[in-house]
Amino acid sequence: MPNSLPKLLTVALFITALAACAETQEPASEMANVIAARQDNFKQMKEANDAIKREAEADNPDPAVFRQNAAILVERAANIAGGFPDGSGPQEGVETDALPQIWQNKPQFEARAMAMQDALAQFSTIAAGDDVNATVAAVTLVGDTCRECHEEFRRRD
Amino acid sequence: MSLQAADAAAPGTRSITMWDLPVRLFHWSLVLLLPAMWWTAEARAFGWHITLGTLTLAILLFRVLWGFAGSATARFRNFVRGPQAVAAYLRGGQADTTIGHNPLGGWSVLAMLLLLLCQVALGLVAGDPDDHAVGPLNHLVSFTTADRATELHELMFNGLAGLVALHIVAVLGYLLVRRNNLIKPMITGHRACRGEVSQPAIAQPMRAWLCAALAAGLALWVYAGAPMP
Repeated sequence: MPNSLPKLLTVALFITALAACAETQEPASEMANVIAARQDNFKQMKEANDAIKREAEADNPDPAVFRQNAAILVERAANIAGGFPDGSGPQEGVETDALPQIWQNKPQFEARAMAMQDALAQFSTIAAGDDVNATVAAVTLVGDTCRECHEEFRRRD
Repeated sequence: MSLQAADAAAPGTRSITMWDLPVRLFHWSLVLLLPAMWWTAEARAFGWHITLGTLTLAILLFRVLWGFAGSATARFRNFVRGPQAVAAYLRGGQADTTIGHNPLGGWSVLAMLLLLLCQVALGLVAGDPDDHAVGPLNHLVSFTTADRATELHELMFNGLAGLVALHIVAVLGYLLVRRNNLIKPMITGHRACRGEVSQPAIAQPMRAWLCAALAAGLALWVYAGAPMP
């Protein structure tokens, strides 16, 4: 019996410490979810943009492919600006290519996201029309807005 | 010569220069560059990855030139042998007498060189300008081609890693089973030989400088996006 009290105390202390860890971890994992969600959003956008660029190089581009993927991009682009709440930037133990400039210059970042939505609206209108050649010619509108924002706000090296 | 004095401990052996300095520099540069390129790709540090890739292109081009103009043991026609020579080597016998790449090792060197050249070529056009950094020749191919090149570039790394692993296992096998240390000659250049062995011809340093200048010029031109006059 004399031995079991220190043991019990040790176990209790250990459990308390674990619980404390779990509690302090909570906000961090919430941020991890935010980051994972916005990364998934961008991955879906890349797939849609890739599909559009591939179709533009096909022998007989299918207008439906442009329309379908443009719709995906329109929907996803609306999520971009909201995907970067304060505290979701680069920090210890977080894997993200998002540069601190996003939070240092939020208005500029939001303007970039808005520019993409404008370009996508423009592209969607053209893609909805009958002129496939015009749609193919407008494909760069979308990618340009990706690249312009990446150059400013995404880690390159 | 002082070279021979260093290794002339056992009677009846003499030291020859088997690997010239350019071959050794090429080899150990790859040992540093390959893990560095793997790491920069993993870390998505593509700026560095492309710089190191261009450096790799330069030394690969040099090695190809050196395979035609270099020292005797560096030349392709001296170490790329037919299937009969490989079969004879596999049956055994001449293990200790080969100066330079043995008939089997010659093919492994050629395979690694070819795979590395393919890997670099794919990297040159890989990437997506909308997404991230691109290889210096990406603008010369379509999006679809670049996309496939990127996938193949990732896939081919596994083949390359496999060949390198095989190479390391083989070298360790020679060391532990056949008691033949291939690592030391690749560091010092020298190898102790028994009996009548003649020193293979070593190319003049000026040749190496010329090949290096040509290779570096070509690699820089590619890095600049292969501009036409």
